[in-house]
Amino acid sequence: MTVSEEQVTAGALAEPPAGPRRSILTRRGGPNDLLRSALPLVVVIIALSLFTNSHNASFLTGDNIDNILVQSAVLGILVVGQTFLIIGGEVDLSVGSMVSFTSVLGAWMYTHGWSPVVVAVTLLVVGTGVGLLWGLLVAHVGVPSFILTVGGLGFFSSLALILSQNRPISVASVLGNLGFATWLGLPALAVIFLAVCVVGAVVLHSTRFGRQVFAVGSSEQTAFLAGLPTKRIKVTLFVVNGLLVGLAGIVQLARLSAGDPTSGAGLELSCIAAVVLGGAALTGGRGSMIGGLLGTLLFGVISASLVFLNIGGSWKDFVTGAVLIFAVTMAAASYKRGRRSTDTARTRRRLLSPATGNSTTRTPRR
Amino acid sequence: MSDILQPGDAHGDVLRLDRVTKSFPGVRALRDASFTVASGEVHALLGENGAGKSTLMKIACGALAPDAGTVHIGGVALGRHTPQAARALGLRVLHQERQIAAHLSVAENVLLDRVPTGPLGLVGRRRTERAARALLDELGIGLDPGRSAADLNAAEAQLVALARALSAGATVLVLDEPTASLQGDEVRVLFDIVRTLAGRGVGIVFISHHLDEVYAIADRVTVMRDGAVAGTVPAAGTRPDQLTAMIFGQSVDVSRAAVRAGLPVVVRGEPLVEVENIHLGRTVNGVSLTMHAGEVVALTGPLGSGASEVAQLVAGARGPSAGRITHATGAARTRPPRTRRDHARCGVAFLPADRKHAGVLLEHSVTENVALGDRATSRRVLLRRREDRRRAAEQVHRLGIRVADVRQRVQTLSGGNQQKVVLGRWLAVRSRVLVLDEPTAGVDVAAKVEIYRLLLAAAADGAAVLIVSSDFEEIHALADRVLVVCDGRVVAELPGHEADPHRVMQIEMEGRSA
Repeated sequence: MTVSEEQVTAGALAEPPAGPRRSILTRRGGPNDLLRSALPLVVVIIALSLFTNSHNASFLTGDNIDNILVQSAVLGILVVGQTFLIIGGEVDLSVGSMVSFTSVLGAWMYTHGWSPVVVAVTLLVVGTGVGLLWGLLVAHVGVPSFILTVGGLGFFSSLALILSQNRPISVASVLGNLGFATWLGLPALAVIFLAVCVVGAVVLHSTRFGRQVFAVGSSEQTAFLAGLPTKRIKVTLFVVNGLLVGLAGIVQLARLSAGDPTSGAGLELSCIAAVVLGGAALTGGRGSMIGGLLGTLLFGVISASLVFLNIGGSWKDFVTGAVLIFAVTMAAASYKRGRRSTDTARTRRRLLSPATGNSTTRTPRR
Repeated sequence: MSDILQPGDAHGDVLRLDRVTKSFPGVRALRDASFTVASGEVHALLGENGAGKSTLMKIACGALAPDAGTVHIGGVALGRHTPQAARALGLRVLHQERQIAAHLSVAENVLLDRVPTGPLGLVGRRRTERAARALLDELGIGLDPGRSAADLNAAEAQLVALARALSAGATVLVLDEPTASLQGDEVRVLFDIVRTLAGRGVGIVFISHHLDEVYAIADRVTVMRDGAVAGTVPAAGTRPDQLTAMIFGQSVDVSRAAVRAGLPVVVRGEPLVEVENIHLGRTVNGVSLTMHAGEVVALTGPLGSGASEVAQLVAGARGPSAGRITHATGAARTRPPRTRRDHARCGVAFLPADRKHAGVLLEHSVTENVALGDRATSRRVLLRRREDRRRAAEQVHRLGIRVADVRQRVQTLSGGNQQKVVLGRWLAVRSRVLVLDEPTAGVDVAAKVEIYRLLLAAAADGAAVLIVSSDFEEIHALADRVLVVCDGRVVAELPGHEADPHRVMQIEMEGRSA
């Protein structure tokens, strides 16, 4: 992968303004950017899996792979929503606490005799409703999503503790044993996770809405002036994310057979980490669904590997953290090198404004 | 142009740029440019947008490294091309926009990077104010150092920034359009300070668009054109028309006749846009105009005149606080267009002045940027990538956009090509009303003429074109009608062929003083 980065750098520095750049590795933009950010992740995931498997041959078995998928399902579903948000230039830090809260709410309703269907629908509605609230506040009131959802994080983690009275609420059989069911030969939760990823990838990369999200995240100004309904797009992003958070709450409840008020703690950060690992820019406008999915799988493979290699669970966050620091440093360094020539102009413009009269008149949003 | 001096005739030069060359991807920004400022001299730097003034000054102040050539400040060669290095040699830049920390006091702003500290390394309010007072007095600026910077008006903020630039003993001071946001009296105060500084031996670079100011303050004038120095002349003894000739040159003919050569003569068609007595807060105070198919209307006015805002209102980027805008193209709609999106769907294109941040998506491909119009106006759900690429290729071909591949990122294109991409976005969705704010800011001259011809061709095809421009040549070349805007009102209307630069400038000045 180092080789490809080098070539990209060389290509960008040479900067032929005209003249085709045919090499897959040197052209920027388009699907090859995807390949460039996804390939290293695929390599690391395969390498780590093979390494673990060489120490414990039961790692690469169907059962364990199913297991990794199920363990990753909650994070994966959250990653799909967060990928949309981050590409659109927003972020939601309340997702972990919302998973705690919705799963506790589901368990509580269950123990109070509500039917599985009503429970499931309620969790989806609660998630969507909270997403709608965030979306309206961000798009129409102008609250920064970061701090707004930090507020949400506190609010819902506390609410989860209050509702459950600080104890996990166990449920005998949840939602018709969804946690143990198999569909199409795969665990039901893994199927849900993969289906959400596929739908998310199609919407993000193959629909007009998906491209609008990229446009809004790259430059809200440009998107607005081009006639995109920027506010509606932002609200939609939060609503979709909220729906997925509700779904993640259901999956969490099914997986644990309990509503655990702390089970979602820290998920928001893993989730953002996975999205960024997958090549998304926190400033918006750049990223991919496959990247987020691979980031999720890497986290899943790391925690499973630690178990299979008999390394204590206390090391899990250490290893995950180290991988993350390494990966984002590499990505930032190569991105910076690759764009130095074009970026200098932009950075330097901040140092000295051009003497171009009133050409920088800003057009405020309506 | 017989009286052109050879630059760099003395050793008293505090700033000397020698045969500086700089290229950007796709553009040769500066060729062999030499420029000197003597101690105690006010040296005006003139030139059109994109002529190379700002690149030259960025190199002087270390923000850009030249590809070839040298920079000397105060007689010392600039070794590392960084703003810090240039600063250390005594070069200061006063930028055109407000550069004040609003939450601090005047004194803290003046001494921003050198607040005096007491014996314990602590900052004391009284000590800071005393030091600032001394500095302000020295410059003859009568501002209270204890005031909050948030209350300063544009002119006062400018003076504070000036005092800050000089707080550490400058040898060269670059003033980048310092009068852009100032009123008449304030300009006089600024000029007095500039003269005081020059009297003390500071070399001053004065970047401006206004010839009257140049004559009022400058000793020498250097004119840039197409990335090269067109000449350096003494201000006294050079007539305005000689300067204009140097500014515009003969290399590329942007005259009305040349730009229109070979294009069909257009007959004004049906009205497409009807603007009735629109207002926007206190910026636009009752503007009415009608735009017809086949017509190019130009709005012009001094900074803050409201001309830009009128364009934004017509394009729906903002909503008027009063008045009505009717689009013939939207007649079939059940409700009148309100948002920018509605206007885009009615076929109203908008090309903003801040092209890089509000016009294009820099990190995205040409295809994606062209397709953005379709993303806004169509109702399809799924993408049609091949169709998007085909349309982008069509616009690339039609508008002569110089790219290797439609997948190329817009960031790598020159200003002119970026603007053509934005134009292509709207032509691809058959917009019939084109609204452009400063259509050729930061575009080189050759591309300028191409854009003019594209706009005229669009008009000939039945589009109504509205441009806001502060470039008098551009207005003269393009417009069928010129509306001069001052204080949010149309103060004069004249036919395009009569709107020669001098005439428009004169009307603007009358409007400004009225």
